[in-house]
Amino acid sequence: MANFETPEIKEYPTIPLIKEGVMAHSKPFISKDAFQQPLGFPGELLDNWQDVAIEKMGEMLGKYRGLQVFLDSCVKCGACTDKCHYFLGTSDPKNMPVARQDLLRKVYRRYFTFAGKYFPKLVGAVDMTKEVLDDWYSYFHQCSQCRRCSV
Amino acid sequence: MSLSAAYTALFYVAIVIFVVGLGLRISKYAKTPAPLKIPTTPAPVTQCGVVLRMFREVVFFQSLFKGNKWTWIFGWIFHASLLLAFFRHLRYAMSPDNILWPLVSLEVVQSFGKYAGFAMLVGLIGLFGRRIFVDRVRYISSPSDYLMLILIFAIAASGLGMSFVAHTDIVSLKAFVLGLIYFNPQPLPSDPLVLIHLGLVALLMIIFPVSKLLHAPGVFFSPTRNQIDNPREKRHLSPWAAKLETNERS
Repeated sequence: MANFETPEIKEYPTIPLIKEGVMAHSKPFISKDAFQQPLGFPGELLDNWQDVAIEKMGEMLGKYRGLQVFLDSCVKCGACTDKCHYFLGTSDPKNMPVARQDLLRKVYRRYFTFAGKYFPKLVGAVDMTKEVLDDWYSYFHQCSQCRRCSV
Repeated sequence: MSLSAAYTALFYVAIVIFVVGLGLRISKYAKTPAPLKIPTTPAPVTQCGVVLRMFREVVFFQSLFKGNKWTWIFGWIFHASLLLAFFRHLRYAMSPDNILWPLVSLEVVQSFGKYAGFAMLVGLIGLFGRRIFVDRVRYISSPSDYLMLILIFAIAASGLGMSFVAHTDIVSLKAFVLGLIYFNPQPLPSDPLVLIHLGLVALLMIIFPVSKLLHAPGVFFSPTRNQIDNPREKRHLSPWAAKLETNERS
């Protein structure tokens, strides 16, 4: 059997302490260019990929009220942090629902909000970089959309 | 420029930023379509049920209670005492001829409002402590989260200071506030507690429309709270989705 470090299941869950980066390696296999092209996806990152990504985010913000409201309204109370079973099992903090949203929110704040544009360090806003994109690719696929976190 | 004039200008600017900023945000939330039927289950199946759900959410913080009891205790105490303090403050903006005066000047409103200031501090300290000592919450907190709590704490503390430590010239203060409302600027008492309290309140009003305090209007626009759970009985289609459908058919 493979050597896994699984937490013991008890009647009430013990909330683990966070261990950063534990699941950063886990992501879906990236397909070959020859398979991506017929589906209409570029095989490699485009030169202006940051602009494309931010423009797409803007488009989605205009089409989905939930996205717009929730990116603004999260007060970081932490009530959802111990709910995601992907966090409870791995202790990776980016699997906490709020931290997973924050991967998106910190880019949203940087390009779409007053505070993020002029006081980025104050509100935790970051530029759209390759590291951020890798985090998105890894951690967004670690959510199964089960909605256990939607308190 | 005299201190009173500066504060008068500051307040007019702050009120304009607050009202316009909030108005723009609320209209953005209202205009953005909600194309997906995603009420958090168990969800109400009638409009009346949605109203009740929203009521329980706003008044009792129902979902937070189910999520995390400690956060609920501190968060609810803070918000409830904020409401009581707000009712008490109405006396500074109303003349005795106002129709609500008998309500606002009730001993119970005034007393509860004063002691609510202490409850506010308790709630805020609890939330701040959680943000420092619980590693999960510390991970997700940015400087603005800590500063927001400190700002509100300073407003409450300076307010309590004026009630219990160093009384300010209440009559002139009320004249100042009524002067703002009726566009007849009056001088402001210049003791430090008043200046701190009012200055921080103006700051709060200015940053309100660009901060996470937007959760106040936001909670009413959350599709997970304000939607009726009837996707099979009534087709839910947003205008942009309907357009895609007609394009497909044609």
